[in-house]
Amino acid sequence: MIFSLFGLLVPFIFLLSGCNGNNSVSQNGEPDLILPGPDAQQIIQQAFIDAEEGDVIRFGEGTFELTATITLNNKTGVTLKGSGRDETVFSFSGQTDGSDGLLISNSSGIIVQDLTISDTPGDGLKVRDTDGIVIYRVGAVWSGEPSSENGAYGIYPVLSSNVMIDESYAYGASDAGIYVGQSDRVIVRNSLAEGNVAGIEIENTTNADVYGNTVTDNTGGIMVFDLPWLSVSGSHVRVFNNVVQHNGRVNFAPAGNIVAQVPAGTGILVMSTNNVEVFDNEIEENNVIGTGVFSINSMIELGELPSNVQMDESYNTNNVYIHGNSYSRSNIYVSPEDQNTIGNLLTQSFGENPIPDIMLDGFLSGDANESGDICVQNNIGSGFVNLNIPFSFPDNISFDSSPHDCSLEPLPEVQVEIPVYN
Amino acid sequence: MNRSASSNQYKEIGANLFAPFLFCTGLCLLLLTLYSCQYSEENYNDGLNIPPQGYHSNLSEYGFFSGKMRNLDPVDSLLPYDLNTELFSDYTKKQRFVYIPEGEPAKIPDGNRVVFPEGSLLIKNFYYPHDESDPALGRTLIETRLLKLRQGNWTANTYVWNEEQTEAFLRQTGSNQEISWLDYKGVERMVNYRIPSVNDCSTCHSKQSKLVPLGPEAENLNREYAYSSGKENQLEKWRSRGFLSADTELASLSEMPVWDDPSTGTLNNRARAYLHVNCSSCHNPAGSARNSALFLEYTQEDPYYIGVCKTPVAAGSGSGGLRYSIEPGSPDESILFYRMESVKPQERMPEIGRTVVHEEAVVLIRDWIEKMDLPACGGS
Repeated sequence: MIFSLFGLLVPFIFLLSGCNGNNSVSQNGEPDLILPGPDAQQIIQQAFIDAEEGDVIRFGEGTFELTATITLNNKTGVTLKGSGRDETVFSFSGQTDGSDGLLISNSSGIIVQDLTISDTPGDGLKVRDTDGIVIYRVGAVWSGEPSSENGAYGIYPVLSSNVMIDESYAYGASDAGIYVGQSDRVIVRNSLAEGNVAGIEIENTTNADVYGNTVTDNTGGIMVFDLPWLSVSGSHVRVFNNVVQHNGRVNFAPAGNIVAQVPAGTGILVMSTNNVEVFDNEIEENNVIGTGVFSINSMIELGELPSNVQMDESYNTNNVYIHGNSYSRSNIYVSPEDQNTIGNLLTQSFGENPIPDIMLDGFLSGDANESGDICVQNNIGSGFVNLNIPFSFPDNISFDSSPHDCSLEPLPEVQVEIPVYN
Repeated sequence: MNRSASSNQYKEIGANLFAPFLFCTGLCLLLLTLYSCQYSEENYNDGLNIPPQGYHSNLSEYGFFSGKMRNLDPVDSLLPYDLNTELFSDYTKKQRFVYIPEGEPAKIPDGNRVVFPEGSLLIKNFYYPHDESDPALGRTLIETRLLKLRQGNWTANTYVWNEEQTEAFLRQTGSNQEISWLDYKGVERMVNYRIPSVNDCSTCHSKQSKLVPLGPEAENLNREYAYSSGKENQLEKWRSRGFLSADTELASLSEMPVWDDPSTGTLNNRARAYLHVNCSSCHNPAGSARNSALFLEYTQEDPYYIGVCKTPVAAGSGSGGLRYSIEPGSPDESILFYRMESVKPQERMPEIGRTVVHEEAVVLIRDWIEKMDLPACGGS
């Protein structure tokens, strides 16, 4: 009975505060806290619809069982704050409507922090058409052993600008754990990606810094790709001070997706893009490609793309500077039946010999004897190989790194305009 | 004077801090529904009661319909309309109305786009007939969506009909409803119909990140309608009624084919009309799925952007393990077809608004891809 009376009074207090036009601050000045419960889906969605500039929507500890995508659309200056990456979990294992977990669109100055999104049929946290987004201490995970049934991307900003992903975590994505697509001014730092097909992927994106991350136990660690045929080309990506180790997981991406082409055992792969600097990384036990510079043209040459796709010099990778990285490896590979076509081609080409850590496919612009503006210097513990795929592969594999003993102008640090977070 | 609750003020219980006390939810919700924070100035337009800002809590407050609301008999200031090819929404039927305030009519500046004036309103009612082969057996109204143009910006909201079919209530957060009906073959069908959240609207109704109407394009409106006064071309009716600018040249306007009526267009044109209406709201160069580079507008001419021998960009498991959006001659090797046939949330297209397969459209698209006169894509 006491509880009943209380229950009647509390909503009245809430109604009064609602008239002040800001429902996220309760009477005592403390922000409201949304807790798990049977109505969480509706309560969170309504809070997102009603959010006003400056609001902090807070989530308590526990698992929120959600059945439809939760969307934040057309908002400025809103913070979504859980009680900790391990403490606040948005579980989408029972999702029936929409395939993304949390979708943020057409917004600016948004912070998402201290929560985990789990088991979405599609992407975990998708951010689209947004300028100024901070993703801080956020997890995007799939339960159990990673599987091709898992969603494609964990943390997924796309068509956005001024993006900060910091101290976040991705596990189990059937494409990329952290995937930044067709965006501009991006920092991905101090995060952990494990158990994904690609750990971190920067695709068709300009001005990105990827540093201080640990990327382990994926099929491939860090990908910097451009898919040609899109309206945006990538450029100016720096990958530095990362630990990229033990990426040898059997590729479990659904066929048709470009990451299905990544061999199990790939550390850092740069493909068909321009102006990339890879430096001061620890690259260990990525036994097929330690650091590769490839072109879509190789995929075409090796028959991995449709026959109607013509090779084009514009698909070559230009201006890549690989320096100051440290390498170590063994010669342990996944079995041939667990490896993809390109991975098998590479391992078979070297037989019993170790595959050199730094690998070029040989699609270089200009004279092949020149550097092609691919410079490799001051790396520790690595061999070098140019596969010369365009020249009767595998007959002209070259271990001579001297054409690439050069340096390039360092790329500038990326500046992002984002809200202050802590 | 009626009360109105703006969208900002209409709230359900938002503070789960009080979760332990929610066992009085029923009473609290009732109080909340009755409650609104302030009176706002009403704006009466041609007998309608449309608040200048925000939305009413109840559909009946607008005065759209005369007589019993569930009959959807529009008052004189509304015009009903249909489309040549409409969006598939889990086999719902739709009854649409348009309101354009007196004075400034809509315009068709470039042959297809309809530019609505300030104050315009689109009303779309979703329902299931109990028996598709006999409308006289009644229907279940599910939701009524409104699109409203004020201060140059469109906004959207939806009203969910009660079980008694006497009123519909503003509901912004999305919900589900189990529905069953007899289809035209006499087969009992079931669907867990999804009423979208207000934010879901912008997933499809979006161009350059702004909310826009989708259906009322001139080519799609260019058809006859059986008005109570007799059959008439819809655009001519709009023009004579003052809904459309008097100087609009209608003779030169083309008609979008009716996707399932072969007398209205070739197989290719009907398939493209279907894809235009059902896909291109996101899949166009300014839409929310433009990152995919799959563009399915009716006017798209480049086979690559329509998907022919195009590898996916970010399809994930939606690729179905297939390599190309469209493999000419081979629907079963085409991702576009695969995603139309799938009902898994992470695979199906459209992503929202469809939970069951549109079987008749699948037949059309299968036929279209099978008969596509283009070389196979190749590749290993």
